[in-house]
Amino acid sequence: MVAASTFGILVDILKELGVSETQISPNTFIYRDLQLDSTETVEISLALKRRLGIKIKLETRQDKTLAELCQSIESAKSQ
Amino acid sequence: MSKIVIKGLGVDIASIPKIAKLVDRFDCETLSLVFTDKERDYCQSIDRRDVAYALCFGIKEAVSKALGVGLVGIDWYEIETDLAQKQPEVRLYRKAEIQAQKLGIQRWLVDWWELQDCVLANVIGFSEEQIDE
Repeated sequence: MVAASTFGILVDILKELGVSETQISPNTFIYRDLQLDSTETVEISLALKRRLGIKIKLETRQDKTLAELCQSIESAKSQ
Repeated sequence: MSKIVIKGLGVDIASIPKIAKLVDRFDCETLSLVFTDKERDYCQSIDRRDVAYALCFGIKEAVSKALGVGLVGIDWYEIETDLAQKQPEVRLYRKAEIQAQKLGIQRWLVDWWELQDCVLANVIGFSEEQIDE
């Protein structure tokens, strides 16, 4: 289950990066589907730090969906 | 007598305008997830600020690749670049330092080029080992 508010924040951040809303869904993979480069993934991490005060690393061995990223954000928020 | 043994190689290209946009968008506290205080102080003090930030970013990525783990197991701020020297220098902290020790990397050689709106950074991690005569 994806928290709507968290997903909304993620959508806003991705749109600010220039990602089209049509490309964004909970099942979208960060690297495979959005083809984000390292600068862009860092920008997402920094935006999450600024907006939510949490530290999330997007550099992972396995590609994550936006739903999985939302779960990581929720988990970081609750700590 | 000693010989140089190469332990790790890494290369990266960083976009100068993209990094400049990143730096302009975020405050110092947020940027501290990527750049150390020393790096920010140096980059902010020189005329070619945007090139310096892109070079820091590119060197960090290149070093993380040379360490064999990328930035998966290492935080950006654990790799520090010193651009105030004639040749850029690399300093490692915490997880990055431990990983370098595991690989036997004692020193770093950094080379870089500015290509249009990008910076290309190339790093070599090496050790100097004694040769028995």
